[in-house]
Amino acid sequence: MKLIPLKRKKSNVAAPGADGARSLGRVRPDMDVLADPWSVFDRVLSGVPGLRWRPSVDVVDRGHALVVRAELPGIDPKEVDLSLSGRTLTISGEKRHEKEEKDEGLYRSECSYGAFRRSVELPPGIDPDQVSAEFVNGVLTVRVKKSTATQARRIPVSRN
Amino acid sequence: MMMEMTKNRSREVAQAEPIRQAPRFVPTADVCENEDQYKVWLDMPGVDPKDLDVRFENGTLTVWGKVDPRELKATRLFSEYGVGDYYRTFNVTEAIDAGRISAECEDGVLCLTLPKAEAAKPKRIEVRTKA
Repeated sequence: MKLIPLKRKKSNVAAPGADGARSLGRVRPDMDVLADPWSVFDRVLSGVPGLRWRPSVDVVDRGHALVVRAELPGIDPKEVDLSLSGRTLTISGEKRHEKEEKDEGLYRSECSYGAFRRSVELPPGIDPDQVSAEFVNGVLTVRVKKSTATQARRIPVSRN
Repeated sequence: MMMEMTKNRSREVAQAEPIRQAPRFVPTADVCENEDQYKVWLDMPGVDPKDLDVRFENGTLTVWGKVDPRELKATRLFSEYGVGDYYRTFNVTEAIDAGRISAECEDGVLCLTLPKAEAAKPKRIEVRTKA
């Protein structure tokens, strides 16, 4: 599988070119593709300007709250936009190149950059007023509390 | 060739048997080169800089980020990514000044700086005209 040349704003930033010494930049282990079939798709899309990459998202039910986690390495938390509309939680933002220098002499490029947007529909019974979010080490964690009406309760069984 | 990567997983396992139960992932990397140095960026979301082990030994630069596996008790409604250690090795030749390799980590991205050895830097040769 060939690495798709990155077409960024400067269109000729390409990945490893004809120079034989740089040919190692070509291959990406197929194993990654097996583990994550989306990676092929993302790879193709990431080469197209204006199309987005897709950060991975996890949703966990902790009983009293739902926890949504997204892997956003290298993103400034200030660039992350989070909104909850009804039951739909939307995470959007942009991952920028750290420096312009990165575009010069780019030797190998596997990481994804650019704008992204993910929407997750949460199950019913969440309390939209009790949402908190934190960003630690490149992982965004959003906690959405469930409204007390939907939390699991133990119902005592009595004998007549 | 200044640097190449060992990508073969089976070889990784042969080099060091993983002791931890956490699954291992190969972090994605960007590599760029300029006259003085190579820079490598590795996406390792979820790694605390304290749990990063970057070492250079016998011409191999090893990056190992330890991440505790996710809790098993909670119900997962959906999950798209795995949680576990990050591990990747790079072969570093003598063209790199190994003593000056440095690393920093911010927001889940590890940035390695590998300065080129003086002998490997390109030199400009002045052209004189014959008098």
